[in-house]
Order: sequence, then C-alpha cells, then structure tokens
Amino acid sequence: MKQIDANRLKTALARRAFLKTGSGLGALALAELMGGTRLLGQAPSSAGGVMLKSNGVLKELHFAPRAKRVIRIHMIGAVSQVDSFDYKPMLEKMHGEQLPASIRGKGRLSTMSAAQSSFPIVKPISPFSQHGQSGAWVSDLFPYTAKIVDDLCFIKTLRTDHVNHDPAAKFLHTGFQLAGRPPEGAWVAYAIGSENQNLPAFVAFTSGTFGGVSHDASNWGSGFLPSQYQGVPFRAGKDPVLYVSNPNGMDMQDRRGMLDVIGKLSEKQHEISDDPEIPAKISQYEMAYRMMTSVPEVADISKEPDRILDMYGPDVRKAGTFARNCLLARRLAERDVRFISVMHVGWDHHTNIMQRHPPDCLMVDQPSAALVADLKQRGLLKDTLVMWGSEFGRTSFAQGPIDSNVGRDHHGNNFTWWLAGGGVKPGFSHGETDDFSYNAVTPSVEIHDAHATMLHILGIDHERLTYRSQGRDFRLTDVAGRLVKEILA
Amino acid sequence: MKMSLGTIAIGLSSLAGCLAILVFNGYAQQPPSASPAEHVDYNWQIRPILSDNCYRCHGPDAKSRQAGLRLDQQESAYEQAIVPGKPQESEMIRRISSKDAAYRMPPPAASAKPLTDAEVATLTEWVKQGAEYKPHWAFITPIKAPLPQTTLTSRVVNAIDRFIFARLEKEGLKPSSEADKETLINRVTLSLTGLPPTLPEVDAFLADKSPNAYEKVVDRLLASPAYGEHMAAYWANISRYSESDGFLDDHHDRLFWPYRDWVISAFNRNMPFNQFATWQLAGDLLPNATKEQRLATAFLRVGKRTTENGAIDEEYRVEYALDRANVVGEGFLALTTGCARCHDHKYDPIAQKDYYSLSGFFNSADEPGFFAPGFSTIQGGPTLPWTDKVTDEKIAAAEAALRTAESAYSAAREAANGDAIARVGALLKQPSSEVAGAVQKSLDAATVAYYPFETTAPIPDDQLPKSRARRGQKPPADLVSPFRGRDPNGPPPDVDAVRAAREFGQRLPNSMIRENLTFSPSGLPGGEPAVLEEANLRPGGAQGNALFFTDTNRGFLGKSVGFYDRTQPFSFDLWVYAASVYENSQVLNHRDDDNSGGAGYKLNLEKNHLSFFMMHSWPYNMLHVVSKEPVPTKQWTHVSITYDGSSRAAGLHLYVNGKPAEVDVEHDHLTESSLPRSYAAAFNEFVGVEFGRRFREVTMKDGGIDEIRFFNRALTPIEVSYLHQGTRAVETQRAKLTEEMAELMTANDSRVVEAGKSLYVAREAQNQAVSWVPEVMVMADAPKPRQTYVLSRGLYNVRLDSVDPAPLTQVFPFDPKVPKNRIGLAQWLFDPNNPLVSRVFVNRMWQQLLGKGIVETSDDFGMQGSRPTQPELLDWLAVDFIESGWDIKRLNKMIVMSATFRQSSDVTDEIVKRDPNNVLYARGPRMRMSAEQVRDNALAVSGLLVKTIGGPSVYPYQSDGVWVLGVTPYRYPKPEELSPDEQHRRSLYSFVKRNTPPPSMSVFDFSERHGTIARRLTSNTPLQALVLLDDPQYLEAYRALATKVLKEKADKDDQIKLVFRLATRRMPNEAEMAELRKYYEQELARFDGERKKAEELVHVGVAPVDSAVDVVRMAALTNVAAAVMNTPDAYSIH
Repeated sequence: MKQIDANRLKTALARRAFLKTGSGLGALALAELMGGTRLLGQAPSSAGGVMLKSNGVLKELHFAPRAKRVIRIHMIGAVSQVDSFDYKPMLEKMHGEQLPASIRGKGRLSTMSAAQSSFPIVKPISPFSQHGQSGAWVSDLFPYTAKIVDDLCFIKTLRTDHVNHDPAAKFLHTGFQLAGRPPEGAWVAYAIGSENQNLPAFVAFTSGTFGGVSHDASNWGSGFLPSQYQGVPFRAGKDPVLYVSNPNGMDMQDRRGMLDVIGKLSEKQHEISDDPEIPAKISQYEMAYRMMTSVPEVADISKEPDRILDMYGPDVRKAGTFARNCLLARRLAERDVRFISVMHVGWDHHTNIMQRHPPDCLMVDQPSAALVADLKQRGLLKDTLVMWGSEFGRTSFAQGPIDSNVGRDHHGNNFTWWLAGGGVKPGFSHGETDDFSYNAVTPSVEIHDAHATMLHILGIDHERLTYRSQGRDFRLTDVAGRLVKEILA
Repeated sequence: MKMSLGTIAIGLSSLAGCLAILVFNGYAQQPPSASPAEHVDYNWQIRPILSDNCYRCHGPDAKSRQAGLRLDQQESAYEQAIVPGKPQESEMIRRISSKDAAYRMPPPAASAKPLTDAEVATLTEWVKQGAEYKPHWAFITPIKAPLPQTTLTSRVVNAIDRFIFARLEKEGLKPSSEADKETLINRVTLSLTGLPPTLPEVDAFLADKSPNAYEKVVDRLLASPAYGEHMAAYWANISRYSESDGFLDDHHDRLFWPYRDWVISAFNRNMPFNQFATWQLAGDLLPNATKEQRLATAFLRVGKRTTENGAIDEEYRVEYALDRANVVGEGFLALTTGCARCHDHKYDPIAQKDYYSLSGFFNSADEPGFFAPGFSTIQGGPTLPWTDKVTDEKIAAAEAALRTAESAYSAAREAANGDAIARVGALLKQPSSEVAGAVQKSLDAATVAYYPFETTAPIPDDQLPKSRARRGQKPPADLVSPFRGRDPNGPPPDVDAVRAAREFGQRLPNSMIRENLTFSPSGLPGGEPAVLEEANLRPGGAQGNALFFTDTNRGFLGKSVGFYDRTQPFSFDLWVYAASVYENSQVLNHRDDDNSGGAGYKLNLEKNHLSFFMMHSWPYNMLHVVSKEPVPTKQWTHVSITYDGSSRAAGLHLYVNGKPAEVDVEHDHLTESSLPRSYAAAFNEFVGVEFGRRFREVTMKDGGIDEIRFFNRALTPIEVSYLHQGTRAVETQRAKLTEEMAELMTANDSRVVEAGKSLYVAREAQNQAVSWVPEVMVMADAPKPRQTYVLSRGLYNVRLDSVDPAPLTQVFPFDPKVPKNRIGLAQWLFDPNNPLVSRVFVNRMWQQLLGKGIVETSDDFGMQGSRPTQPELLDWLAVDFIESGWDIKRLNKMIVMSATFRQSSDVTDEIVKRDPNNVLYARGPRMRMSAEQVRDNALAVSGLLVKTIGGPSVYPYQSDGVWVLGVTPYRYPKPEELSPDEQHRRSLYSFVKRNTPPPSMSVFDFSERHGTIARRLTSNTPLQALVLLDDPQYLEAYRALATKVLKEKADKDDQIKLVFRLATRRMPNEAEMAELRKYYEQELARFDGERKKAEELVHVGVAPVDSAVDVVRMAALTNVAAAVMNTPDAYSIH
C-alpha cells in the first residue's frame, strides 16, 4: 500500500464528494461525451452571441440559429428527379428521340452509359400534377409528399462532380469523395454537442432493399475526429444500440450494483495513481448506464397511438423499416438528439425503372411525409431542419435501348432535394433546370453549398468550424461552400 | 492523446477550480515566448508563427502566393520584407504591428486568428537579432550530439536517460523512482508483446533477485512470437491492412494473410528496417526475386480497389498510384504528401509536381482500375500463387510431364515434316484443283462452326436461351469467403457443374427481350444456331447478307462454340466491315462479364487496329497482340486468328486478308486458365461468343461482321489464305506453296495429331494444377512503363506536364546514379543522410512504448507538425538506429531498458502542475490499451486466448446485422458456426472489413484502414463502457476467468485475490478487498435465490460452461471478475 500525502488525499476526497452528486456526474459525463475540452482553447467570438448550453467546441454560435437539430434523409442509390419532383413536359414530347448533343455537352458519364452512341429520351414513368398553394409539380407516385408540398422547400439544382455512388455518397456525407473525413453529423456533434445527457448527439439509421449499392459505416463514422463524435447506429431488434442491453441474468438493479463497485474500485485506483483519466472513465460508465434506460425507451413505440402509427403507414409496425426509422427519428428529435441520419438504400434503377421505381416510392413516400407532418403537429418542425435527397440524380435518357427493361444511368449535373422546417422557406422551389433536366440554368447548388447552408441554419459559420488534422485546418466544406441565402426563410 | 489529456483539465477544474492546471496545460506545446535577452530560434519560435499565419499566402504554394513574397525563404524575405537587425525598416514588422487595418498583416478580414502581441514581439526580436533563417529541423540530416551531463548518474541506464535527466534537471524536476517490479513486468510485457504477463512470469520476476532480472525479461519478450504479432498489429496501421476492397461494394475475399504472416515473421526475425521496407516497396524488382520478396510487395496492393460498375478504369488506376504515394509519404516520411495532390503543399516543400513524380514510381503497376470482385476467383493485376509444398510438387510434376509431351510433339512434327517434304512434290504435281481439294478437306475436318448470317428463324419457346442463377436467388452457402475452408490442394471446381449452374434459372440472359430474339441458323448441318437480338441482317455483306450493328443490337453464337481454354489450339476467321475509325470497339467477345473476372478472349478494333486478347485476368495475366496496321474503313476485311495452345504470344497469329499481319506484343504472360468461369458472375452471364452491344463495351456502330467460322486447331498459313481467296491461294502462291503444303501435311499427320492430343492432356493437367490455387495480390510493373503526368486538381483526365519518377527532391536530393524505379526510391529513403526516415521510425517506436512521440504529431514532421520535445534525443536515437543497421529489436530494447521507461507512472502534484502531459518524462508512461490490446488482454487473462500464429483471418463475435450492410453476398458467420479457436485468436487476426470496421474495436479508436494512420487518437465514449460491460466476447472472458479461479482456489478471499491479480497483475489492497468481498457475498446470495439467473448469466459465448463448477458461485464470481476488469487499471498500461 502506498503512502498518499495529505494534499493528494484531500483532492481525492473532494473528487469523491463531487462524483457523488448526480448533477455533477451528468455534467462531467456530458463533457466527456462531447469532448468538451476544446472549449478551453476557444476564445469566445465577438459575433453571434447565442450562448450554448451544450458542450461542443463552440462556446457560442456564430449566428442566431434557425434550427436546433437536423434530420438527414439520404435516398442512397439516386432517385430519378424526372420521375419525382423535377417535372419536364419536354420529355413527354420527345420520348424516344435523341437527347440533343448540345444539351448533353461533354459532361462525365459513368462507364455504364459512356459506351453508348445513342441517348434516347425517356419520358417520366408516371404523370405529374400540381399540388398545394405553391402549385408544386409532383409525380403521382408521391401522393403523400404531394400533400405537404406547402411545407417543403425544393432545390432543383443540386450538383456533384461524381458519377459513381461511392464517391458521391461520401461527398454528400463528408464533403469529400474519399473515406477518412468526418460526416456532417460528427461535425455538428463536435461543434455544438447535444442538449440531451442521456442519448448520443449523432444517431444513424439504415434501411432498404439492397441492390447495387450498400451502406458504408464511414458515412456515420468520425473520420479524423475523435471517435466520441461518431454516429451511433440504431438497429432493429433487441439491442437498439449495440451492447446497450444487460446480459441475460442481470437487470438494471444488478447493473447498478456492479457499477457502484466499479466506481468505488476506480476511485481507489485513482487514490493510488492519481491518474486523471480515471474520473473521466467513471463518468463514461454513468452515461452508459443512463443509455441503458434511455435508448430502449426511445426505441419502444408501444405507447405511440394508432393514429400516429397509421400516419407513417403499415411498415412502421415492422422494426428496421424506413417507416419505423422515420418514426424513431421523430422520437429522437423530440429528445433533442442533434443530428439524425436516416439512410435508405434503393433507387439504383439502371434497368427496369418502370418496375422498380414505383415500389421504392411506395416504401418512402408516406413515412417521409408523415415525419414532416408529425414534427409539425408537435411544434418541432420550426426548429428541426429536414433534408431529403440523393447523392445524385438520374439521366433523362435511357441507359441502353428503350424497351420494357429501360433504365436510367447516374446523373450529377442536377438533381432535386427537398428541405423542410427550421429556417427554410416553405412552399418554395429554388433553381431551374433546362427542359431535359440535364443541366441547371440557374447557378448550381454544390454539396458544399448545401453543407454551408445547413451549418448556417444551425448558427454556425462553415468557414470557422475547423479541426486540425495532420497540420491542416479541415472544414466540412473543404475550401468551398456558399450560403444559399435564397432558400432561407 | 491530446483529447484524453485535455479532459483532465475539465474534470479537475470543475472539481477544485484549479485553474492553475489550465495555465500549464499547454506547456511545451507552445514554445516559450522570447524574453528580450534570450536568443530567438527560427525553427522553434519563428517558423511556427510564420507557418500558421503567413505561409498560406507567402509560402511554398506558387499558385496562392501573394505579391511574389515568400516568407519561408530567406532570399525572398530579405529582398522584400525583412532587413536583418532593423525591425523598424522591415516591411513585415511594420505590417504586423500596424494599427491600420488596411495595411496590417495578416489581413484582418482573411484571418480568423490575428497575431497575438507576444507573437509580434517575438518576430520583432528575431529580426532585431538578425533574422537568421534555418532549414526546417526535420529536413536537416540528424547528427549525434554529445551526451549531456547529468548529476543523476546512478540512475542512468543508457543514453536516453542522459538526455531526459539533463532536461529534467534544467527544469528543476526529478525523475520518479523506478516502478515496483509487478508494475514493471506488467508494463514491459504489454508494451512489447501486446499481451499481459502470466502470473508465473510475474512470480518468477519477483523471485529473481539478480541484477539483470529485468533485462532477462526484456530479452525473453523480444524473443517471444507475441512480439512480432504486436509489431505486426502496429504495422497494419501503416500498411492500411485489410482484406476487403473498400469503396462501394467492399467485397472481402482477398488473400492477404500470407503477407500479414510475413510481417509477423519479419519482425520476429528482427529483419533490419531498411530491408523490411525495401522488400515491401520493391521486392519484385530485386535480382532473382524470391517468393518471399515478392510476397512482401503485397504492402503496395493491400489498399483499396473498386468494383463499382460505373467506375472509370483510368480514374481508379490513378487513385491507386496516388494511394501508394501517400503511404510512402505518411508511412515513411511522416509528411502529408496528399496535400500536394491538387496544388503545391501550403507549408512543406512539396510541389504538386513532386507529388506526381513520387506517384510515378507506382504508376506502371500492371493492374486495372476497375476490378472484378474476388469471388469471381480472378485476382486482377500481378499475383503470387499461394501454394504449399504439396501443390508445388504437384505443379512441378505436371510441368515436367508437359516438357516431356512438348519434346514428343516436336519430335513427331520433325519426323512428319521430313516425310511431308519428301511427299509434297508429288502432290504439287497434281492439278491445282487437287491441291485445293486437299486444303479444303483439311479445313472441312477442322471446322466446328460456321455462321453465314444469311437468314433468321423464329425461336421456339422451349429453345430460348436461359439465364443461369442470378444473385439474390440462391447464393451458394460457401460465399462467406472462398478462402475460408477452401483446400488449395483439393480438387478444382467441377467445370461441368459450373456449366450446369449456368443453365439454372428461367430468365433470359442479360435481360434480353423475348420479342426481339431470333435464330440465325448455323451453316453446318445440325450446328447450334446463333441467337440475335434485333437481328439486322441485310445485303452488302462479304457474301450475301451480313450482320450489321446499330446502337443496340447484339447476339451470340451457339453456347458450345469457341469454348476454348489457353491449352487448346483453335482458330477462327470472319469478315469485318469497319464503317469508321473506332476508338475501341468489340468485334467478338468470348469472355466472362468484367464483373465475373473477364476471363476469355476477345477481338477488338482499337483505332481500327486489330487487338486480340486471351486472358486469365486483365491486364497482368494475358496475351495481347495488336496489329501494326489498321484495317481499312468502309470495306470488308478478312480476319483470321490462329492459336497453337502454347499460352505464348508467339503461338498466336493474326492474318489480314489471308496474309500474316505484323503485330506488337503488348503482353505475353498467360499462366492460368483463360476459360470463362461465370458461375460466379455477379451481374451478367456468359452466353458464348458475343458481338454487338455488351455491358461496358462499345459497339461497332454501322459496322458489320460476316461468315464466322471456328476451327478446332491452329490453321496453317495456306489454310488461312484459302479461307480468304479460295483456290487462288494454291494457284498464285507457287513460291511458298511447297513449304506451306508441307506444313499442312505435317499438321494432319497422324503422328502429329496423336502427339498433339497427348500434349493437350499434359497442358491441361498443368493448367488444372496451377489455375485454381489461391493468389496473393503483389506488385509488378507493366512491360512498358507508363508516362506520369501532373494532374490538374488531381483529376485523372486533366493532364498537365509529364514527369519522371522521383522522390521528394526538395526534402532530400535524389542521387542521379540510383535507378529511377522503386528500388531507387527505397535507396533514397534509406540513404543514411535522409533526414526523415530514421527519425520518423524511432519516434513511432517511442510513441508505441511511451504513449506519445517525442514529436507528438508522429504523422506530420512538416512545418505544421509539432516540434520534438527532446530534439537532441530524437536525433541521437535516429542516428544510432541507422548505425545499428536499422536494428528494430535493439531500438526497442534500448527504450524499455532506459530508466526513463522504468519510472513509476504515478502522478504527483508537482508533476501535475509542472508537466501534466508528461512531455518531460518525470514519470513513466500511462495510457489506455489500444483497441487490439483491450480485447487480447481480456482473452489472455481469462485463459481463452488461442495463441496460434498466422493463417486465415477469423471472424469473432459480431452482433447480427452489423456487417450485412452491403451488396455483397457475404454474411458474418454466427458464433455457433465458428469454433472457439476462431473466436479467441488475437485481434490482429480478426477480419477487418473496411466499410464496416468491428464496432467493438472502433469505439476504442481502432484505425480505419482506408489509408495510413500513424497515430491514433484516444477518445472517451460511453460506448466503450457498453462494450466492456455487455459485449459477449467480454462476458465470456469474465465467466472463463471466474471458472478458472474457482477450480484453483477454494477460499473466497483467495478467489477474489486471484481474480484481481489475473486482471491487474497486482494484489488488491485491503480497501479493494473489502469492496469485492462485499460484492461477492451479495452476488452469491442473489444468485443462490435465483439459480436460473445464474444459469443465464454464465451461458454466453462458445467456450463450454464447466458443469463441474457450481453455477451460483460461477455467476457471482463472473460478476466480480467483470467489475475488476471494468476498472481502469485492468485496461490501461501504467
């Protein structure tokens, strides 16, 4: 047994007293979770003025925020914009004719259609009609989304350099085409942390029918940021978060008993070594303990009334579906989870788009619209930003010949997202594309612009949110990014 | 490291309001600011300020440079901005200290961080003292400084301590006392082997009172196989080791574990670092490269590869070359070379041109950009067959038999040819119609297929072509990985079953449209018809109608037509009509889809040159010849290809209009089966000889083909000529006719035919022996080097200047005498005067053993990196390492033998105040275990660890659904499908899927394997607690630990003590005993009342539950073990 001098003993005793107070523990745990250390190095900025309760790297926001949280709905695989929200009557008229060479220009094609010498136009696979006060044109395959168009802000001119899923999807999430950089959610968690002490700041959902495209954990990893900023995947089944359930033969009370022993033993170790990591570790265990309750609670939808479940459609009663994930996204938003990434695979309709596009619409249309409506009726939409869309769009010409197997290839020049909620204009459409939905005729919205705007809506200046890795101050928006003021409410 | 140390500050400051700690938090991160009397050093004080604030606009990047001013170079700075000794006359000082925002530098608008007053003062003082520039410290070749004097000589073990102690004395600090022996053996064992010591090892050390007891332990550890494993786990971060592809599909069936095992063995054999690295960078280029040297080059191939369908081949080929440049930059030089991909480096002397020059060493890799998934059984690019002794012997025997058969064949030909020459005169005396008849007869006998493309016929429903099984229908059960459980010496896949599998399924192949399909009958009685989609037969052919191509039509010959492997002689001819000059269009294609490996042969028109491939895998393992002359446009050209079954380009002949065509041999390396293997096809299926529209191929738009024939042997020249011009062939070629007719007679001689059959059998036996062995992807350059270009913004298709391969010559010059290849690169790296390589490596070993590097940014030695805290020590170690012959074990031994390493790691108040980050080393190291160690430690202390070294990667526990995120038809095996042996191997054998890294490891900061990661952060997250509390891998370990103890000790206190000791390698103190005693009693009582709960708790994992042990005690002690194992001492190194 070692001699502990009086001074150290005093410190240890004070620490123990501190650890025993619940609020202290919580605060400490949160500081841990959010990596609050960086607060210390950060001088308060002169602008902005909104002080944050939560412990991210920013002590105060750069601007008054328009939203407190983000729900990113990523339709992985690429929704055809001309079969959803970018209505082009010209395609009807010119069905089967060649896309004019002047329109096609010299843009990059994927190697799947680069070999073609013919580019026949394919009309929308289903009719469009106008909806709402805003008169937005929506494919009849999206009847539920059609009902909420006056809450939506369409951007028709998203653009990306990439013609393949892997780089384009990484670009959408991380602002860079190669793996290794943090995704949006990790940046936001790093910047402004969470206001909920019992749930992670960044949560990720995956669903879908696997076709040519897959989910990739680097879309919710932490990249070069420390791992505490990584998205925590919520899963279907017994463990909504990996290992959040006690083992068989152990209930919460037993767990509490063990944690108390761990805590006491850890403190004793701390008395010996004074290792300053130990209090941090103890607080981490306390946060884990709270997650053991809060996570199953948030994942349990048994108390949701039928009328709410019915809003999301029949799939909501099955765990792991897109509909269930939309409902859970709402439940997490209610609990102030900062960034919720809802990723759904489908849509990669290189062939058989007529057979495959409608069922994909059926799977996502109702739940997506329900999420917006549900947030709205709870008053949450006003401070939640919802972003819905893909890593790129699809060509208005056929990949291969026009026959009963017709499909569309990848198209990065212009594609459509819709946004809803905090800070964006409802019932609004931004950007114009040409008659063939092949090029933007108004300035494009780059992915970096969308990121800059998303951060702005949260009250963050994208140029001032940096992290130094390997000697360079990195940003979500790399060296680009322009605020799309036009869409701000 | 930064994160965790930072958290200290929060915890303590909230606690005691002890702000003093915060003041010291940045100690040694920041250079001490200059007091006027002190000398201001450019490297330590000035460059950091300039680099952070000025270089973006006044630094190495020529494109973003403002006003032509460089502040990183003395000449430019003196010319424009600095007058040495005269701050008032220096524009720079005037600007930085100006109150006028319009004049001030850095421009307030552009800079988030204005210069502080202290920084301005330091810069001013530097100019006053003469503004002396020095090269960046890391770019100066290190020298050994004299060992510093210290008064603590009695504690000094080696040179390290002299440097450390002298510095401590200067700071008024004292080293901590040596750690107690329990702590010491625990620390050194974990540090050198990644595993904890066993209790007998601890006891032996405690009992050993000899003065060199510690050294004996160190020597034992360095000699133990676990050392090499631990070092290999480290090297995996540098080599970005993973067996999956990354990118979109992330297929994971690559064979790389032999390389991983080589790394383990190299470390265990203590291969010198320069040799270790040279083999990995250039082993294939070494004279008479051995199998081992070639295997080492897998280092260059173990990076990512794409199988995404739309991927542009060149784009990804470039990506791989740049990836390798990054690995060299970050792995050996600790420079962020990747920053120069789009522009000159902003801070370091790496021009964009230098970066591409570096990538030039790797730009000739003989590999594709778009890869077939590994489950196609085709590994693209250079490979090393991974054979064992039995297979090697089998292959050797097959090759000996082949040589015998070849000799027999040559002899038969010689004899037959002699006879033919004797007899040919008689034949040629006959009328030419007789001669022609002989040629015709010979051709008739060899003809196996003929398609005149004159007519079409409807296809009856029952004769529609059928698709084989498609992905998603019935994935074969063994698709976990072809390398798992596949016996390399077992029988090759059953080719008939392969063919049969192709027949499975009801869909039309390649999504063909029923209404658009017709037959085009064979010209031979009973021959299989061709299938045409959107048949476009019309007049204007070489004879009658021909098949012309639109954008979309296509077709294929009878499925058995042309189904030849590389062992089989065959020929075909056809007439080709090129409507224009085609960039690269297919004429005939008898290959798998690219997604299925692309094995087979094809004839293309490349700018209308005839381009014929016969391939196992593109581009490394194939024959490829290209005609020197293009075929003319807008006329019919007769094209013939003959092949003798030799697998050599010399055995392949192209004829244009009956005459041999001169060719360029692009590739002449075909060593494995070239038969399509489409049972593994992912997307489209093999249907036979195809033409027209095909996935990823460009059609011959408006062109046509006609009169296709296939022959079952290599035709002779007279036969080819006859195919082209009929009887005129024997009428007009009198000069060569004798020779050619003799050749024809020879080919038909029964002795030659019989010897040919035997030769085929021997070739096929050799083919079967070599074609199905697993292969490791290794490095080899293409036969013709590729030109490298600077790429604008890194875009593969926007080429700027061409560059030659060269390393980073602004960092260290490239000796013009060294070869400009990867061997030269290795020589440049390991030149004793190279300022970086040795420093970088010794610093990383220091980081590994002490928790952080002397240069904390062990991944960045550039201007933006942190500065060494003990520069003289770093340099001394670097030079010493080179002088020792790059002896890694010696270096590791020196560090762990040092008194510095052996200090107690307890934190005292004085240390907390003076040096909270322990950069001065007044105490020993203290750190959380790495992700691998956390798991390995739990397995080791529980006795579950299986110590087998090497072999295929294993798939330990993973919850359902974690892994199945992708398109690939793999699944994670369920625990019950795996033997406990696989579950309980060291973590470096755990399979790492790039896009789905193991979550339990990721939360402990396991390195991503997308690129080199030289330094891991250490983060704190509650997910770590969830893993240690609830992950079955750990629960099983706690139960095994409890079981082991219960079988050894009867007394409850003894049980607790043993659990504690196994978990922490020390005895619990009284207070700890009291807690645990209470908890044990409580759990015993609880489980006694609820035996069912006890049963549930212990039934976890795959290791059998020992029924001889009382389940209540097992459950209770399991929880005691869990509690102890969850305390920080049990998963930290201290």
